[in-house]
Amino acid sequence: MLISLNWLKQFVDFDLPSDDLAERLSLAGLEVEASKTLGQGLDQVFTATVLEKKSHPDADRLSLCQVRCGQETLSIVCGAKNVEAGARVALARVGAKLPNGLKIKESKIRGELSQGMLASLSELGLEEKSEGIWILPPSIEEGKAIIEVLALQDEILEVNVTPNRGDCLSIQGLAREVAAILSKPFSAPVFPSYPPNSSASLEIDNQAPEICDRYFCRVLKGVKVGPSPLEVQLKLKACGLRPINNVVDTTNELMLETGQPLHAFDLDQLEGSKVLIRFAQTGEKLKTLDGIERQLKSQDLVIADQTKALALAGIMGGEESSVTESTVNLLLESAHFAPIPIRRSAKRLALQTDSSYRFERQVDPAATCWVLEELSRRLIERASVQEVGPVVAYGEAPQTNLLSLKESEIERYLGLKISPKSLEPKLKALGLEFSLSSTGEWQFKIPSFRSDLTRPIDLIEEIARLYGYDKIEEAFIQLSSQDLNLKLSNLEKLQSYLREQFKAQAYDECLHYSFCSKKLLEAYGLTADASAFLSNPLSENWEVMRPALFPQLLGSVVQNSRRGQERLRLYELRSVYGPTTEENLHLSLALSGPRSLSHFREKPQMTDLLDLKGFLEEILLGWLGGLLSYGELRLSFLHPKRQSSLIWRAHSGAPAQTLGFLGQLHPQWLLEKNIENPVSVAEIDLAFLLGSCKSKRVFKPLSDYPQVRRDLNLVLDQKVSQSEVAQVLVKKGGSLLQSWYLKDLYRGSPLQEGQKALTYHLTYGSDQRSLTDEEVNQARESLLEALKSACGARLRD
Amino acid sequence: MKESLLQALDGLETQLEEALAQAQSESDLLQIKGRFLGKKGELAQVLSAMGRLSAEERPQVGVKANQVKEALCSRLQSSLQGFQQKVLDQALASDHFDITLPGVPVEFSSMHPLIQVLEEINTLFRRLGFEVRYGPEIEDEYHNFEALNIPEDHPARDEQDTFYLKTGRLLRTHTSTVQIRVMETEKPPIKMIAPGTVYRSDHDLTHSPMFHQVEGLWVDRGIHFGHLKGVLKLFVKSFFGSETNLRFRASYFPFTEPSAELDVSCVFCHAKKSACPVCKDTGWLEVLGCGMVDPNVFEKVGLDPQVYSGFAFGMGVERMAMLKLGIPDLRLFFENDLRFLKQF
Ligand SMILES: [Zn+2]
Repeated sequence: MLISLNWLKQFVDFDLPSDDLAERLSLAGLEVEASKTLGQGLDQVFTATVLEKKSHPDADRLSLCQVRCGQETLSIVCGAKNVEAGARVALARVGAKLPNGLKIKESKIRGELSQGMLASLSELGLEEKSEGIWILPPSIEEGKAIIEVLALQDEILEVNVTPNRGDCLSIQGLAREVAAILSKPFSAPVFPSYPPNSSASLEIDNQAPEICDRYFCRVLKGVKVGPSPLEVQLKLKACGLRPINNVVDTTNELMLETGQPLHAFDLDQLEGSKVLIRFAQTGEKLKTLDGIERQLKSQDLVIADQTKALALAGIMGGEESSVTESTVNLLLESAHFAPIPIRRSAKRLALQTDSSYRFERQVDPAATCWVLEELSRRLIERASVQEVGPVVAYGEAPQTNLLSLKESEIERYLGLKISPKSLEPKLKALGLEFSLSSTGEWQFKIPSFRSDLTRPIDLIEEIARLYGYDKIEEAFIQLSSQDLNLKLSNLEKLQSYLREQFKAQAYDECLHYSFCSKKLLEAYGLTADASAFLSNPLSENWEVMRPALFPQLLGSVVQNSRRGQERLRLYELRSVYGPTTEENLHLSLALSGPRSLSHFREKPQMTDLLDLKGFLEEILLGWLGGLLSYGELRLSFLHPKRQSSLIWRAHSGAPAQTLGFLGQLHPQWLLEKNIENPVSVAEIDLAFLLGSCKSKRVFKPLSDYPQVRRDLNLVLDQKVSQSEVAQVLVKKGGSLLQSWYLKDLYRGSPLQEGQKALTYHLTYGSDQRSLTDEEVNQARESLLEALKSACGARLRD
Repeated sequence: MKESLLQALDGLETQLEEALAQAQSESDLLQIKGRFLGKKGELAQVLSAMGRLSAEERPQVGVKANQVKEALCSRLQSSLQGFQQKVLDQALASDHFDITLPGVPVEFSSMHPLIQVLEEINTLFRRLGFEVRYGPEIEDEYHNFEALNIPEDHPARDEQDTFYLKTGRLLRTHTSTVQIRVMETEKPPIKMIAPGTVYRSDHDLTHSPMFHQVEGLWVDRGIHFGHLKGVLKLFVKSFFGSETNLRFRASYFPFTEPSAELDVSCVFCHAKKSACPVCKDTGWLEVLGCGMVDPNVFEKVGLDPQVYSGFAFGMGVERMAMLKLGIPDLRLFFENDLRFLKQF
């Protein structure tokens, strides 16, 4: 909400600089988001009169004007269409520096001398956008500094009023706040009732008393509709409203001033003798003031005459019954509507107005009556009204609510010993009267405009902010024997475990949006469950909650590769959604490019699926223990020979658990994405890992005895997989075989076609003693026998 | 016999010296060693002849033989060392290592900057005794709004444009949902933070449809606004630096009362207020919202507001990271450009 400090000062007396006021308001909960100064740079702008207007000999759109400013007459070239001889205008003289930065100099425009400029309101910083120059009313005296004639100097603050403070959506409400902040008295202006001089009136037929608890209206006849007084127009513009005519402007002025939305109907457009407050019929249509025909529903409340809807109650008037230049008779309306139905209709129709905004945030139910009286009075002053009818009223004045507050409660919430008495001037400025009851509690009378104050805690908040949050002392609690849980959860442990491993291997962490396009999923053969689709996505790219991480991770591989990055090690550790569980933690990693960074001594080697596999095994077994094996998989985007599901068992023979998959991208994919190096990818469901952390690590004594190392050089059929050999090593290696690794894989001569040689490096040892050559040889012999029978291996010569 | 043996022994050292004088390399040296100390070497020959000596003479020659053996060994050893030293000296002299050649590069990586900042926030609150709790991202109306005292048709819902799933469930708009889930099932004292991903259907320069929040909650008997100020002051000064000033501004959130916004002194211009695009010359930056838990929220989760009180706070992790790391554009967090990720 925009507020003019000049206007504010009509209700509360202060001389604080606007920056200081803005800060005090912000601290008290009325955040000032912006401010601007009006009237700056207008010292060389004067009121003047156009004596003569001729067309420019060399330019159709320009005119040559003789302009009188007091004693002087100046030649001015003007481009505006609305300039006319006799008009009172705002003249920016040579030397003026306007608020928009424009400097006025004497110049020749297409050969004609111009000794200044006729200014528009926007050029003077008085409105956002103007059409044509500013034509002033003839009553404004000529030859005067404009800033003085029109009292243009003002400060405008933009205040962000929180949804609970509907009462601050008005100059008066903010004036109360300012008074409270500065401990100054605030007295609400008294608007006397204006006596009728005619019996012209309508009957009110309220069919929705649960929504409209107060409705006041009044007939004015013989009205002269025309422009508002200039100062009213400027005031409205300064607060962001466009002046329309004296009737509409006055309703708007009073709404800004008091917070009470008002409406004026053209009485002659009404049929019958009743004004109805009723629900719309389904399918009923109403063309609102903005020219749009609205389809109404039965929940929408309308103001209607006998035959038709006239206005959307509390939101916007209808075009047909609106006040125009030709209107002579008026029906004025001041009403009180319940917030929720107004909000629902405004939302459904996407039509938020100054009026609906206020009703949604609660309007003072007591204001309905007196604001209508003031509206009548101002219109009589401004629109030469001939007949004034009586006020017709529906609804009772609201009752005053009482609220009691214990000082001990203030202390319990704020840690502060304070009596409301010590803040009396401030609380009184807010309209809060209070006294001490016989039971020792403070009794507060809650004014009708403070619908947000219903519980003691609401009063405690008022006390806290008026006292000043900054003055409440910080307090600290020592940790006591309270049983707070400081243990790290499994989720925290797993996440930090994984991130450490990835950091050690120089993998970079990615974060993608949780939603993606259906198209992307389909490209990877994924279908999302219908339940994972958003009903209101921002775009097709973000329409479905992702069931896997890897499609977007591969997207980042492609993006970074296009940016010239060759060495890519990416991972993401985030939730996926559906289909079996609503949300589930996953891990995805992708690897491509050289194994190490380039160095002159080494020829870079490209990573492939085995690099990814080795790392993945290490992190999974490091967390889970147990055994991993590899299962059949047929994913079309992966290399047909280089993909596998990942299966975990606690020990051989234990039930199998599928953890995820790994694979190298299909060569076709690489071609499409224009990527040269192999790309490997894996995705792991972490749900299982979260539930089963390897049993606690326990110290094992370090052996004092030497280990014995032997190579085992085997020749095998090509079809025998490495894991078949490895399984025999695990099962038949004997208790002395402590560790082993594959040292070499060889194919080619002198081996026969279809054969391969695997060399394993075996390490034997014992915790209890030194081993003899014989027992090591024996263990190796029996292992070899087992390999012969299980895998058809023979020892290579 | 004895005399000739002793003589022979005496002569061995001189012979060795002569042989060594001729030696050119380590292999010559091995040969010489074999000649004197080998199984059939000079010394062995003397010793084998000792068998013919009498029992009295044998020890006399034996002592001498041992002395000579030791002398030969140590002489050979020193000579060997001399040769090795020479080889080493030559090798060192011919080494042309250039320390200015590039070292073999090692690459490090880091966690996503947002996760780093999130972890730092978690760590600071863990030190203050807060437990890290998680909750679902896909939520229901009740936990996201109603239990937090934001009924349907409340204007506060305007500030939280919500994504809905086709099932009618929604993506949580804040991690305040986690405080509800914890309070529903656990009794105070509750001292927790809830980091997590949240969603609002808003996308422009300063809004991302997905972002991150850390919510905090401390509920117990006797917790008051002073404790809120104390905890957040410790946090802010630890996170932004001890020179940071802070101020609490009155504000409004449906689930807290009294409510406040916490501003910190601008970490970019240090509140100098001149042409600072970050604080727009106010000298202050808004970093989090907080307040005392509204009694309505306690009632929703079945805690007695007459017995318990507590405070809650919530902050945007992206904003904290942007301020801390000087990142100008929110979108960078989700573009996964390695040139960005590798900076932190
Ligand atoms: Zn700054």
